[in-house]
Amino acid sequence: MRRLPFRLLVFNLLLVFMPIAGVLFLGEYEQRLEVSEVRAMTDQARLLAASVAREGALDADSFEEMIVRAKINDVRLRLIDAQGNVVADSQQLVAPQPKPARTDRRNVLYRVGVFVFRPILRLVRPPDPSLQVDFYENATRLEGPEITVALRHGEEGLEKKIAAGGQRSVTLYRTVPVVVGGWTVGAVVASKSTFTILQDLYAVRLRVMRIFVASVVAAILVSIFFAATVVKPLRQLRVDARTVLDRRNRLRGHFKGSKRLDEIGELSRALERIMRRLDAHVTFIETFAADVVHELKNPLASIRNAGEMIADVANQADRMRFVRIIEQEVARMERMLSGVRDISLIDAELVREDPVTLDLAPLVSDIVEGFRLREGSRLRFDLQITATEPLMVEASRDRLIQVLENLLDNAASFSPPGGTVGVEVAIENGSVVTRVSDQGPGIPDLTRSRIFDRFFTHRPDSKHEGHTGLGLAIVKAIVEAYGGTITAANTERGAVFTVTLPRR
Amino acid sequence: MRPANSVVAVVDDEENIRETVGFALRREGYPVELYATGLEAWRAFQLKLPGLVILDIIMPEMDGLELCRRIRSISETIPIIFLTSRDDELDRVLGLEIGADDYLCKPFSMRELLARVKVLFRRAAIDQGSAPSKAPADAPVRHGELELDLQRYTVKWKGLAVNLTVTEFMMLHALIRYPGHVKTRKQLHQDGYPHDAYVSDRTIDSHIKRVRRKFEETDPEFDRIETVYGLGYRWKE
Repeated sequence: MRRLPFRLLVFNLLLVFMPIAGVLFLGEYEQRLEVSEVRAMTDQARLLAASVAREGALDADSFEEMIVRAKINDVRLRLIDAQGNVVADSQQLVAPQPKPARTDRRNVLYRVGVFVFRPILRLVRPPDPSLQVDFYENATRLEGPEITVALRHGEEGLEKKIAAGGQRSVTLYRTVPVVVGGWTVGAVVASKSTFTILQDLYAVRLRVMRIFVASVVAAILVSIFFAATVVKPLRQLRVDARTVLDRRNRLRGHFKGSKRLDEIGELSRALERIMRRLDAHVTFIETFAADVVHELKNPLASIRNAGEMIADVANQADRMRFVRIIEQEVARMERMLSGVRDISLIDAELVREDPVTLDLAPLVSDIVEGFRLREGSRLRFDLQITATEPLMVEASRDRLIQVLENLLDNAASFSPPGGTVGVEVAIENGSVVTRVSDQGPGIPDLTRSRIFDRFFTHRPDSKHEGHTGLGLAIVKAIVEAYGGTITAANTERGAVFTVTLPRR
Repeated sequence: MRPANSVVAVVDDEENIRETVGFALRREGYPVELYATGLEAWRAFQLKLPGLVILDIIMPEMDGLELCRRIRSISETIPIIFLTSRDDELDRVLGLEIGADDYLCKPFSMRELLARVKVLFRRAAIDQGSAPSKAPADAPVRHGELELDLQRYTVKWKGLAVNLTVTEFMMLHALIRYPGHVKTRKQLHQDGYPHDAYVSDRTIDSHIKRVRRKFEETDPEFDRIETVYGLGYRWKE
């Protein structure tokens, strides 16, 4: 179980480390910025060098005028003669850009980030060696490889001078020779600090770091959230599931469904339903077995006693009486066993048969018609279908027939000759209600609660052969399987059974 | 030695059982009344009580337990035999605690039932003081602080009466006949139900349990009936 939150954390952290990859690629970004800076500087220096050359002499005033006119203020431009002496300098013309007092480098988060990631960066990219500081800041004569290249060889020079210590501070120098009549008479030196580039980089890095920190916090929160909302309920589920079985793997406890609204809650409720169904089934089998054993003992007792009596009595008429008892009870046991088979198959059959949506009205009419034929003039059947709309219910056709036949059979067997069996189908409170009433003796109050119990019969005289006490139990099992209910009551004239099925 | 009222009432919703039991009892010379439900029997009993009642436990309308309670509210002494087809301990214990004198499990032996009826009538007759003197073999058996009256089927422990059913009495008698010897469940069964072959070991165990409890009710220290695991029971000296 500990693996699930761990996996979630790893997954979240992977997302977090994406920005770090970004930090690593910032170097590339820096380089590209530098290249474009150099290109811009070179263009300006070339322009100025060409202008100076066209004038034919190194003139400080016109150089300065050109700079002012071109409104160049982000690059320092100097004009030097063939010996490297500074003739003109844009520094005096343009006020230097004020450096921001606080840079992003000073940010605490940035420093922490640098502290953490510098060793990693060092591994990836060794630091540049620190060079001798060579600022031309206030020098009147410039010397350097890029100057030499321009003045001696008449070629453009490029130099990067890096201030040592702490963060790199790079100044780019671009020298473009001024050629007049084939002779190099001087050079234009453009210089620019990469400070602004670095500022940009710092800002980007800081933003990346902020995102990183926010992501770490978010990842932790998400992990905690998952642990609380996924892992904990899952653990509870496991604990609950374990309590259902005892040490010897016997069903013992009761599964408690969670009230949660999420998938885990649904899973837990699904398991609870399964457990309850299983529980009900186990109870059904246990009580059913006890019922069957109990019910079989009565005929068995009669058979045993009658057998003993046959052995004991000499009178032929008495003996025949006991033989008849034995035959009756054997037949009863056989009926019971087939009833037992029926009722134990009901469950399996209900599962196997797909319920269909069908109209109850024609089905009831057909069955009542069948009973009219069967009973002939002995009984009257009064069928009333009050609803005009179709009475659709969802059930298996065969099972519904079984329910209706059982109820009508029951009503017919309790009805006195010439009596009327009433059948009524109607819609009440959005359900399809079927009532079967008879004009029999009614259901005694004492037994009404047990009338649907298995093997329970209330037939005061045993003349109704072929009844096992399972008919109403089967009816109840079927009706309840389709989400319906069945009740029994007495009217002024007899008993009434009411089946309520949900309307589709 | 037949008591004045030797009418046997049989209350059972099973027609064939009523008929067979009724036939057998009549053949033994007892006047018989048959009732299909507890309610029907109760109505008749309110007018006139029989001499002995044979009761089925599970019946529609009024079950045997309720009828037994009602009979006991009228008469403390009328012998009641329960017929039961439920193995559930509860039914039996209830049946006995509300004052049954014995019970038989369905399917029972008719001879067993007739023997019980005879014993219970004799016990009732002796209690009414109409018993003739008997052979010395049936004189009370004394064993330490235990006293068994083989005529009345009554037991005394430390001078106090212990109210055992006939079956329990017969099992106890079998145990003390050879004190210290182990009686297997099978032997106890043969002693308790001489005519019946279908009693389960569990039934014997619950009988012994109840005998112990009844003794403990008069003497909380009682521990004479010992379980010998895997074998049976014995009376500890």
